[in-house]
Amino acid sequence: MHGRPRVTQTCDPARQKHEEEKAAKFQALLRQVLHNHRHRIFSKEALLQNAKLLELNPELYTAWNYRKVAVTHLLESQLDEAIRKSIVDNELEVVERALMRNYKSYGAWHHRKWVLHFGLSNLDKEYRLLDKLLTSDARNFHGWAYRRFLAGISKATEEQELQYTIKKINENFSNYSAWHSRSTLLSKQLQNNIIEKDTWLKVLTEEYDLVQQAFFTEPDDQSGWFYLLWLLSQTVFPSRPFVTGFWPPNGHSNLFDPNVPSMANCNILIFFSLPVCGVNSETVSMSSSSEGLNSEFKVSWISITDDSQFSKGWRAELTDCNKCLEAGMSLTLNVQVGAKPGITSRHGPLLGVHNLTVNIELGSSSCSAPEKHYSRITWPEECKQTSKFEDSPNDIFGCPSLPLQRHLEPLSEWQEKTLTNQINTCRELLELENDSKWAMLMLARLLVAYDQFASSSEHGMDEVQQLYKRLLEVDPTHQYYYNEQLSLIRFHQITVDLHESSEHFWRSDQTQNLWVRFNHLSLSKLGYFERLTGVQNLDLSKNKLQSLEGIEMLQFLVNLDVSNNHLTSITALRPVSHLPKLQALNIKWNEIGKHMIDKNRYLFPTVLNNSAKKHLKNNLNKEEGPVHWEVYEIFGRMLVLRQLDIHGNPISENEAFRSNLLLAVPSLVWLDAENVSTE
Amino acid sequence: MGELTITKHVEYIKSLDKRKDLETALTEHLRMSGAYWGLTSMDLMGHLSEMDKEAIMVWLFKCQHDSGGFSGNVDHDPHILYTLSAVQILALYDELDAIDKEKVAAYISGLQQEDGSFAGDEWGEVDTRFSYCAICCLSLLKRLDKINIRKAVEYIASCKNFDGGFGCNPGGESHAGQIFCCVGALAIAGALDLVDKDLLGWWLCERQVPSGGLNGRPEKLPDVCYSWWVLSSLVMIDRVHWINKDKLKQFILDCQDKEHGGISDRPEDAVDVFHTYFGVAGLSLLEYEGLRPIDPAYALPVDVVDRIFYS
Repeated sequence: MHGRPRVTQTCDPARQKHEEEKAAKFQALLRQVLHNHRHRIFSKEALLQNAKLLELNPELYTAWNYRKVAVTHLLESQLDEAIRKSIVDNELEVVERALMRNYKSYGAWHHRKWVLHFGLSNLDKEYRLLDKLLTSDARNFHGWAYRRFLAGISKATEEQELQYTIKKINENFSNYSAWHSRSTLLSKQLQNNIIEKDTWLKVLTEEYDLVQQAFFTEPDDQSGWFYLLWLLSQTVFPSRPFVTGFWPPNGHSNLFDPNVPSMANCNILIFFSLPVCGVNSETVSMSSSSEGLNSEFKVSWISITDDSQFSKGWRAELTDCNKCLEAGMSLTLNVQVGAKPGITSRHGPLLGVHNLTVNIELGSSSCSAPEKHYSRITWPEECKQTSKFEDSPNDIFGCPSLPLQRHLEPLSEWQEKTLTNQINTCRELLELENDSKWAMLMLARLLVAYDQFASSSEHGMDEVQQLYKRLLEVDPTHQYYYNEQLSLIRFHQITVDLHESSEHFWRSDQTQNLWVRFNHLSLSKLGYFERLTGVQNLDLSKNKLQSLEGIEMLQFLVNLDVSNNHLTSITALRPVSHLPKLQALNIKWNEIGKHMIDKNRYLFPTVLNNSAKKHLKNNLNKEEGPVHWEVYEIFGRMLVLRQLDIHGNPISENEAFRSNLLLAVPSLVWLDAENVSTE
Repeated sequence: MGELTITKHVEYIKSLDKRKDLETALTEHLRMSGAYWGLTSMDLMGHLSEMDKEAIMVWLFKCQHDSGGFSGNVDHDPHILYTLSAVQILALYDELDAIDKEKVAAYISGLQQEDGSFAGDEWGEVDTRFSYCAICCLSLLKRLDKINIRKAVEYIASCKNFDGGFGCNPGGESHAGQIFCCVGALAIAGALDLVDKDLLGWWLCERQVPSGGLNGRPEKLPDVCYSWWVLSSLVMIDRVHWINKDKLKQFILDCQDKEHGGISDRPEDAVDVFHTYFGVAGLSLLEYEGLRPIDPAYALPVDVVDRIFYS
């Protein structure tokens, strides 16, 4: 029972008897009321019995139902306005007594709303009663919900309600309910165009001032900080999507070679800041100025996460290039993203229009057709060879430079000023309160936001790192979160100038493959994938990764090493299953099969969330022991996988798993050291 | 770290049916949910077979009404809350084929409103809790096509707040119980991309208080039931590692009545079947040794869910 102290159960028999008698009495009354309900007895006595019962237990929803039937019945036969009003008033009294017993009773609150809909009650009285409740319990969410209800039927303006939130906030800065309510009312005003865009900036500035008082008064209270976080999101992070990257980079060439299967199609990739839908040949126009060709291209766009309507990455395949081109010719395409409206995220349409130029060349590529007999590759970690890569990093990406472009709009004067002010405020607070966790966290987030948009990069990142390191000491409970933030900064620093040094490049003696290696860096979270788009061989081994979210952006990956990480389930490989060219995957020494709870179970479509494709389900082989449906849902999509190294995970010992795997991935040649090809 | 006294909890749950105290009388209207909490706890602890399945089934069918809906007990009115509990009990016992699924589905789809939301019963109380009940229940019955799922999802999205959480209705404050309902419903509907995982994940992991327990809203006391509401939401959005699992485990174990069985909201408070279930379910999500794994969205053992959807 909520908040009721535990009493020893070996109480004396007399007390027990007394309790049982009380229970029996209650039972008798309940049976009587339910009987009246069933037989539609609406006598005065029956209504009184019901009221008494509800006073004892306001949670009896059937008893409230009875009252609704009874009141409807009584009002139907009553035309006298005064009597009608007294019937309704009586209901409000019953509810009031019930709420005194339990002010959290859903049934009682709903009955009150139901009664008010007859329009026979005095709303001022309701406001007065509610004010009393919200004075004694300022966070009661039933009370706040009732206030929204009253505002709705009394046609109160948002301005009036905002005034009320100010009143509650001034009474107590740590009234989270009031801050919440403020965010809702302001958002509504903005949405309904009651606040104009210019006024909005003024409103936000005032809100910053208000919340500043809150966290200077109560630096440990969460309310103000969550509100500040929201203000920040309204200031710099547009909820509208924008383009973060292209492949190939603007002005660069896309080679294709009809004789090499993996290069037979030209790919154009677009990346967005948020998952979007509506990418098609209407919204993304492509035209060519070359003579003798159709000036308008019709291509089909598919999301790189093929099963979701919204995706951060979209791929166009130009399948008929070889019809348009002859060897040695090249074609220049002008691509316009957002040529027509229609690209939209869950929260709003695309911001701006983006242009790029792509050259397409029919090449005799240096790649050779894949060998019929696949030889097992050696992973970089397994090689004795220590020499690093000495060629130009351009070879890695197949283009002269990394496609790193800032597609963000620069900060406006107001944004810059606001961010700077807030950064200074947090620093001031930290001088007063050295260990304020929230001030540190907020400052770190402000600096990251500022850095993302500032024209000169990097200046705040050292400070951010220091802040997160201190947070690790001050608030060890959230160490994984802080470590992930540190990992993101580290990954940002590594990838931002990747093409300027060869530190992370490596060429295999065995295959001559060019690798990008981010191994042994304690990475627990990755990001900035648009910077790595063209990479074919990637080594992420010996890190602390639990998730590979976002790796699906690397559409050209052929070999991927994520061995010695903390992946906990097969379903964690879901992003990998979106890589169309992946041939070799190393997941040795992870934790797959070690955990009972799969935290990736709902992150992608399966039959569990009613969106999987039927064929996967039909493929389940029930005769092969316990079914590992994940094997089919995940590995079953890796259509060209030739090599899987999985040794060192508890699941690799499981015979049923292995036999399911071989059925799910017919292309597989090497499973660990074993040749499993059927040829 | 103390241990989960499984045998005591098993005895406690088995004793509930025979009690004649006031507490039992006061909660008779929600017995269907009580049965679901008790039976699921028993299944997670590996003792479901000790319950009298036949008697439970007979009683359960007495609670079904002509409308197709189930009530919380015999003689009470049908409600979507208890309809879900009844269907979950049938799922536990692999008896979903014993009911007229079309009829139950018709009851639930009849409660969907124009804006996509769901009423709890014919009297029109609307709440995202009922959206979860509807979506979870229909999915277990494989009848999701009977409602307008797009609108149902849109309504849930309209209840999203500035902190990434969800409330009962549009404008309602975020609350961990409500967040479970909304995230669970979106997970089952395949629409988790509507959730701002980093923002919500941070809010949820900030529910952990120094004692290790979780609260349901900022500046509130911890309570064992949030071990389920917060934890299952964190699992569904893959952010569960952001809290300190060992401290939470300890908090739940500290809430046990080791002598008489059962788990309470906070240490030394009176136990009940509701908190016993949420404590056991929470420990299951924390991979406590000796407990069977629970599915974070359907709130049923994983093997029960997999049996329904993958066989």
